[in-house]
Amino acid sequence: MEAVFKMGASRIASAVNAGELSAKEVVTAYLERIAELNGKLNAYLHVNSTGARRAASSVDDLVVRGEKLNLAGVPVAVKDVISVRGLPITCGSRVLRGYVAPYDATVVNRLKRAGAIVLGTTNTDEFAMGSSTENSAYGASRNPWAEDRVPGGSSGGSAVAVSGGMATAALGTDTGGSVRLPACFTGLFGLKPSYGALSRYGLVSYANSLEQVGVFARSVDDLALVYSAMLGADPKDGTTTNFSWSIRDALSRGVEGLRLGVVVEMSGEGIHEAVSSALSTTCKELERNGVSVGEASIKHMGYSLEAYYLIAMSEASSNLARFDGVRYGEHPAFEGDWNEEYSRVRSLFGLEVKRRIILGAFALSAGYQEMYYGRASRFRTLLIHEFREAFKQFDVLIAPTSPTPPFRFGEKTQDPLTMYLSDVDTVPVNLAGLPALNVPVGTFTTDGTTLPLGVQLIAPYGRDDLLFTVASQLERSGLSSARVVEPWGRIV
Amino acid sequence: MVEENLDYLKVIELARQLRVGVTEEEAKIIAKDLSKVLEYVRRLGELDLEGYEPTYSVTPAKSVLRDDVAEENLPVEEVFVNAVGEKGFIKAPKI
Repeated sequence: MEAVFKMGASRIASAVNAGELSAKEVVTAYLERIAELNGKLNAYLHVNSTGARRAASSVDDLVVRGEKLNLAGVPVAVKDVISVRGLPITCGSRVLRGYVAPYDATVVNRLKRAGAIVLGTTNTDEFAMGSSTENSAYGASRNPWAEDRVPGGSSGGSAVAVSGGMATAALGTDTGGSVRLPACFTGLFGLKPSYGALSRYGLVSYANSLEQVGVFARSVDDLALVYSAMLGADPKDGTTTNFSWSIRDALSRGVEGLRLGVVVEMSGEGIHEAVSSALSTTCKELERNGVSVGEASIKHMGYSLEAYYLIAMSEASSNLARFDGVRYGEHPAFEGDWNEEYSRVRSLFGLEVKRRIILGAFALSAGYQEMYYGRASRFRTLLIHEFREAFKQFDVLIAPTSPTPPFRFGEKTQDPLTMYLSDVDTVPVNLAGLPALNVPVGTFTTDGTTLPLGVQLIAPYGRDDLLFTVASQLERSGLSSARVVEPWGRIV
Repeated sequence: MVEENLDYLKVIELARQLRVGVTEEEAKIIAKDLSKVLEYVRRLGELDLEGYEPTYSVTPAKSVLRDDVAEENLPVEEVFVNAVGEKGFIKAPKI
């Protein structure tokens, strides 16, 4: 039998449901693998050994009683900004040290009900603010592909867990690219759903109008299986919506006749040649399968990053006001008055978080609000309009996920603007609330180091199914695949 | 957009209002970065956004109401695990 850590979610679930493999065996194999690799890769901040074993026993009991579960025994990792009852949740921050989530996020609850097992919580840039995990208060995660390269962020821990074979699938969050970028940098499928497709109940808010829970997996089938288990409106999150499509149908539908638009504003200047080449290979492959390919223009896309950071920082400034130390995390010393005590607790935020809270407060302050936050919000309407126009001519858009292959540790930490530019191709999607998917497409070798490449597919609002149809074709035709990678760079 | 620099003193004042403790060193770094970031985002001022209403959420903003039926909620003792509590109250710093 294939090593358990290399199996896909559907394989594990069918083996567990058939009684060929127990959930307990799966969990034991994964915990061993985590014990072996996590010291090197720093993917998990907290490993749920006892809880995972207990959950595995319950799944095995249900299976013995004849229940069939879609995710029976499937081990998943959860980004440390999503609540898992009984597990610590720190958001990669010192401010929340000691906080234990008293309830499950809706997405976690739904995964558990489908038989999935939470192996632990994974590393993230502090409060999901970053593109490399270098802003985590608990050290950066390492990219199994290359020791000196970042895994991307902010959901870098989840990406490394799946890429390194320490989880079959994982949850991340994508506010401005935080699932797609790490998926791209570690060679995985990474989905950012339409805004409102998944519940945010139990997710610690950073920029609530932009962020969505997303999924990492090593195959389109696995991605579909995990995503389907979480879909559906949630009474606890008023922004959630039901969609009418079925992902199963989407996977079996052909791509013939689909119209694909290459976003010209994202595909020209400043794009690494290996990324451009991956993009054109992907287009050619789809053309061979009956897709018509043309050029799409989102004329004002070049202003997205400015608008994104203004909105994200403004929302962060408001959302992070709740961390006062009274209800969660580090507590006040009860020595000074509330001004002193709150300031002391909140001095534990890292530099990037402080920077965003302060700039956000400035962008929202009297006299400047219309100029900064207001203009950014108006730009958002313009961008949505331009996307809608493009989708009159095309069914799906395609663009690089990142302008470059994974960068080195320390390369972008000195200047915040340089780091923000890593998200230049991903943020427009969040501003418009669209669904998008990173698809791994080949590799690139430089100085003896092989690095993964990826492109992103973007669909109209509420048409996440189209992403699955196209990605599934790319996987079937052999262009796109994701494998477990041993540190540093051995593909197994 | 205005020619406005977020200088050191402004950062200190904002941090005070936000109750975020910053060291002198941090305030200096943030002041430098903030003026750079503000200069960058000022580019949005070039755009003619006349006629575009602001988007605050991509989903329709509507109130979602449920029936007024009592539901089971989180047990108080479990929520209290995360706070400093005394006799059923959460303890906060003095005002």
